[in-house]
Amino acid sequence: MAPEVFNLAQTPITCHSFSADHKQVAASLNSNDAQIFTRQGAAWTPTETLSEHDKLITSIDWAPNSNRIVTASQDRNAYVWQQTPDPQTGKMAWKPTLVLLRINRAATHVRWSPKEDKFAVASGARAIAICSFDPENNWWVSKLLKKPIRSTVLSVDWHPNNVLLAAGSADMKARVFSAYIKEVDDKPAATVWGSKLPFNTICGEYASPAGGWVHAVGFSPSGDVLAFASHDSSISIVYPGGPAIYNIRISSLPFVTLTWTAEDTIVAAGHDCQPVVFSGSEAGWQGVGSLDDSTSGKTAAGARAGPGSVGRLNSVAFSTFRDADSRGHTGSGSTGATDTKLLTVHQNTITSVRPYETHGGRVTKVSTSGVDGNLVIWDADNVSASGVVGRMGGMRV
Amino acid sequence: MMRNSARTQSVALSQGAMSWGALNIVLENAPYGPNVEEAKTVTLQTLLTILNTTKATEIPAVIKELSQDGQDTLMKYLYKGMAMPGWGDISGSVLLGWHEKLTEVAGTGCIVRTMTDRRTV
Repeated sequence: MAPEVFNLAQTPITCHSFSADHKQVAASLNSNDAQIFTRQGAAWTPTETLSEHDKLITSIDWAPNSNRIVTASQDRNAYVWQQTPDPQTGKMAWKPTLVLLRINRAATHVRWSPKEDKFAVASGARAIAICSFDPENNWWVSKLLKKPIRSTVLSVDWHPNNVLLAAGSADMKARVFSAYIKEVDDKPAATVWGSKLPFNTICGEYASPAGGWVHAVGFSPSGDVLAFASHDSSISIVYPGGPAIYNIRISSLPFVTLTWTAEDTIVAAGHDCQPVVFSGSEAGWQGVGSLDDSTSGKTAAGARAGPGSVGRLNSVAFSTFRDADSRGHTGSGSTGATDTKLLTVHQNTITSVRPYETHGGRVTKVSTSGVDGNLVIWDADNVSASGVVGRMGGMRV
Repeated sequence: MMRNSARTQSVALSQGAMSWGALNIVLENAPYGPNVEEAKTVTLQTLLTILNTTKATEIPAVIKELSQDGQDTLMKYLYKGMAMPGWGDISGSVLLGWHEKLTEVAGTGCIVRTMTDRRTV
């Protein structure tokens, strides 16, 4: 099935998160406001705006069961939004609750824990705030994970046991912490990551292979495996019990986001503008293809350039110079030098990939949002191997 | 005639294999870290000699034979070579030729790794 493409805006979409019923999506359109879109037929119309932040919103997470939205922003704050009836009209409206983050730099990423009683806020203050609700004062309080983080934390992901937290950081390391909060959590059972887990226990620390920022981290559905993508154009899969680390160097531009779709499959996306699928097991991992089958379903653009060229490299300036260099052409040649359209569905960097639909423990659909203002829903099983193999093999520069 | 072409082919192959072997040794033993400036200079010189003497037609085959580590390290040396014009017997066009062929094989990811890696050659 072809991916569903929705153009939400002409501005970049910094992040997005769907409601549990998929009828609404909250997105930050590179601004201080979080915009809620409601699906009407084949289109998304903006219905509500959550304004409270006074700097760019960097991350949004919509809790599926408790129906609360948490937003994190560069203004060093996070808010938890809850739908409450207006006292006068009785109309449901989103109301913010303050979170005492106690960080002095931008908040970069936020995720609800699986039980939705805590959330983690990554920040530029070399710390991760683990927030839990304090009913006495009616606000969210935080405890900071600080050691041994040495730079901005770029992403976080929760282990299914609600206690362990993975974090990727600009100090080129991915780490697994214990985010155990006495007041909230029951004593966790032992996992492959350790058995005694007081707050701020470091259960694992893994460096990116060629020294790139760790942009994205993710626990597998069972929580026994960790994957992280880094700016050295590589993706690493860690088996802590092994101990084995599989590192796949990719031939295209770095990934900035990833999600597991099953215990043996990962979808990663980023500067290459297409979601790429990796699969494997404890015995080894490899890239299997792309969800973006750029060779079919496209009109002239796809047919002309064929599977051999890389999406991002099909730019006007590039082909003009290439023609001038290799063939002495100047001006618009037969290769369509006036066409700025990339061969991929997303026309710019993908900022976020998230699970969209799950069937029997497998994620069957994923959603991506990009700098091009597009929101795309992909069929996670529709992997086109030929597309990516042709692209990697026949890269032209 | 037949014999002749077979001979040229085998000579070309052995030359290709030779530059691959030499390149591989240099790349596998690339010096890293502080206080090894002299070793770094010698390695760069050796490497450039190999690059200069490899025939243009053999370059793709040589690159394909290298390991991923080798390809990444080679890219680092290409950029280092390009960063010091007029140094030794470097010719810009040779480096650019290798760069083009290496990018065809290893992709833009290889260039990104060269830029991020703090272990410089």
